[in-house]
Amino acid sequence: MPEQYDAIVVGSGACGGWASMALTQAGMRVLMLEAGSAIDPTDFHHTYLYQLKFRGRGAPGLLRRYSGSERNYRIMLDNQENPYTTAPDTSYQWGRSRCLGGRSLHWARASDRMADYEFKAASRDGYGMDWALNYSDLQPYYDRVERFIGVSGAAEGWPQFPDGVFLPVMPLNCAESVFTAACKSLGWPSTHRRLAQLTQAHNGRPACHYCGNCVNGCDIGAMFSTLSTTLHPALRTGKLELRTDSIVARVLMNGENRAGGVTYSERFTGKSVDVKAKHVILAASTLENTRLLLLSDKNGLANSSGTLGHYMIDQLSGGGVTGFLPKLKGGPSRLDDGKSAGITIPNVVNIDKGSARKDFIRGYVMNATGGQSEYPMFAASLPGFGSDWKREVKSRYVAQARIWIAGGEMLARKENRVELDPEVKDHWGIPVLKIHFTHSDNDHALMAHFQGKAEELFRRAGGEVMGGMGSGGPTGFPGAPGSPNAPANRAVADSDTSRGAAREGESPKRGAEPNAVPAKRRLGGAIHEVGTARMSSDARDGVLNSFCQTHDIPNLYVFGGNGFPSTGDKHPTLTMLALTARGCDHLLESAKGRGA
Amino acid sequence: MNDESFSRRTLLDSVIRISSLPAGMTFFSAWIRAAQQHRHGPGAGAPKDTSELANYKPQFFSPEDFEAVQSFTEILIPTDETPGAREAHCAHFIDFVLHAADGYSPDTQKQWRAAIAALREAGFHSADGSRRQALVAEMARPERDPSAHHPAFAPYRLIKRENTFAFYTSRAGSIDALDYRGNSINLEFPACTHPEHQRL
Repeated sequence: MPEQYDAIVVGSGACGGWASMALTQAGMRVLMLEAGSAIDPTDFHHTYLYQLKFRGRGAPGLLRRYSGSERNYRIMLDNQENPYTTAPDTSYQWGRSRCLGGRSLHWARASDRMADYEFKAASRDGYGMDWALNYSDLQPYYDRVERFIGVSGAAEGWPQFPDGVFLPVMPLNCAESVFTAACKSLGWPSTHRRLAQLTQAHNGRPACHYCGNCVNGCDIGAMFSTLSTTLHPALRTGKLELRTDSIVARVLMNGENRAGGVTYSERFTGKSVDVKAKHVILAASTLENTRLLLLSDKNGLANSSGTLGHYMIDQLSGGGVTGFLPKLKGGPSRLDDGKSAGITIPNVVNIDKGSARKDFIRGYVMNATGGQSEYPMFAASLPGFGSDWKREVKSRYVAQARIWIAGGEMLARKENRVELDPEVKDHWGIPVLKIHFTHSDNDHALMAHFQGKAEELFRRAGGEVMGGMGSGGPTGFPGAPGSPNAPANRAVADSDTSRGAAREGESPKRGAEPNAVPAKRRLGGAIHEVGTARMSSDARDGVLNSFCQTHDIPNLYVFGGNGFPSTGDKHPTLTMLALTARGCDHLLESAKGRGA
Repeated sequence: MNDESFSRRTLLDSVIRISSLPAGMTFFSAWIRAAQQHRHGPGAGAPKDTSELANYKPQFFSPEDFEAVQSFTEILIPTDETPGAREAHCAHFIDFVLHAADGYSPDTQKQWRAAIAALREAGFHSADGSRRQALVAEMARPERDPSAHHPAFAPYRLIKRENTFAFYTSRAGSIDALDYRGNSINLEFPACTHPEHQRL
């Protein structure tokens, strides 16, 4: 007879880590199952590109197999073991990670609260479905999460960008100061990016030391991750059992319409193991959660609404401006990329009657930064050679600048969906996901508006636009996530921006001309995939309720981005964490009520 | 305190502060190790280049072609007041990458073979130093003048792109030439305090 746990948590990323901590601290015996390997945070350390044999690009073939870069592929994912497929009209790249801590180890740390106008977007513009909760429902959980993980930021009092419980901000670098002045000049709001990155010692964790290595695994735990923040409190309870290299294949049901446990395969032996629990929590990342629900019943588990797998959304990427701030040219080198941050320009469109647009609904947030970077992405596109060229590279190196879209809202559409591929299986013989994902005219119109505003800001800052820098920007190098020659299917930790490399054999456009805006840009995702098991007040309309509990199966919870009926214009992780904290409270209350 | 003034004393103070925090111990050993690697602060603390490129024997290019590629890279990024492609061993790195591509990137290798053939066709191999300089200038002209053409422009771009990568990812290019400050340990982030940046 297999042992029975109070709860099984599938996945160890941001949500899985929080759930394990919350439930064990409440006295539950929890089994955490992670598909990837254990990661030792003491393996994280600073590495210069010249210390890497292939300077970050990895040995030939390595980064076809793994996502990430030569530095961080170990905390990403083996694409050969874990394939997925896409429909013919889909170019979606699913950024994934399989290791203890998951994507929390290399996320962009952006921690913005969603505002009430986003939760009630459908009521405001008539499109889609409102969230099944309000800002006031989540506010105490945002507070709780921020207090625990530590978020640096400044309170601004903007209704569309709710303030939180903040640690002191990180100072602005020179480029960010110039962009801030430009925003003021245009009458636009701007503030420091709000990041789960400690600016002072907090809850036993040290402050950031501004090395800029965030996406390669923080070597001191100053950025929030499961490893740095939630795993140890859970382990300290003595109530958490952790099994890595355990690939969950399905949720088991008992005869009473309740989840009874899960079946997983041991990664290296392929041995199938059943484990039982009173509660099952899926926190394996949004699309993996949905895959598990699809794998667990021929019609999809908890799918009485028929919406499981549908309404997949991601925030928009594919635009932006890169170039230089002439004001900064020729200046001294400074630690510009040490915080991997920037400024945020909150959404200012479609937030009230005065800002309503006729050409598109919903909104977007912009980020801007610049200055010195690890690699001068623009250099190869700069005409010329010789000593003059070297001096020009050095002069521009400290004057780099970029603006990118941080949270462009994409509309939820039923036809954007995931299903099980009937033919393709992963290394363990488990059917993989097939993704159907395209963008709407509204998505293109919103992105075109962002592009115009980004160029307006860049011009106001006195910026000189140049293609060829890619979006690696301050932390980029060729082959890095977002760079023009980045391999397909790699995980990135931030929104993509311009891929404006000049075509070989052409003179790159330089000078005062802004980036040309094609009629329809090729839009991408931001590794902010959400939806596919949306929350609803009425069980007929969605898979989850506002506690991320499935409508159909009371002891089955799904934490991640699955419940999002819309993306909003904020990065999703903080909201996922707040939903998880709220869901865990609900689970514990329900369990108490049942005496479980 | 600015980034230049980072010292072992302040590092020690910081270590003591962090180690007094209970969970700070979790990452303490890693932090100490990282601190030891970068104990002199930004830039100046970047570790030595321990790669073996200086002793690398070309395996992809023939000796004659390697000499041509090496010469080309040094024209593109010469040694002047800062190190150039020679000190960064750019040609060696390019050869290393292309040799490693065996069995993985036949198209890349083919592209480079064609590029070298084009250089030879343009007379680069047999030219003396000043003629080589002039040839590179002719090949580069379409970069600034879209109406200009040169049969070796694509090879020029190919070598320039990879040479730029090889140089600015080397210690000579990143630290010595550009004075890259990241990857270091700092107690504070250096704020912009320049009045001219606070206004347009």
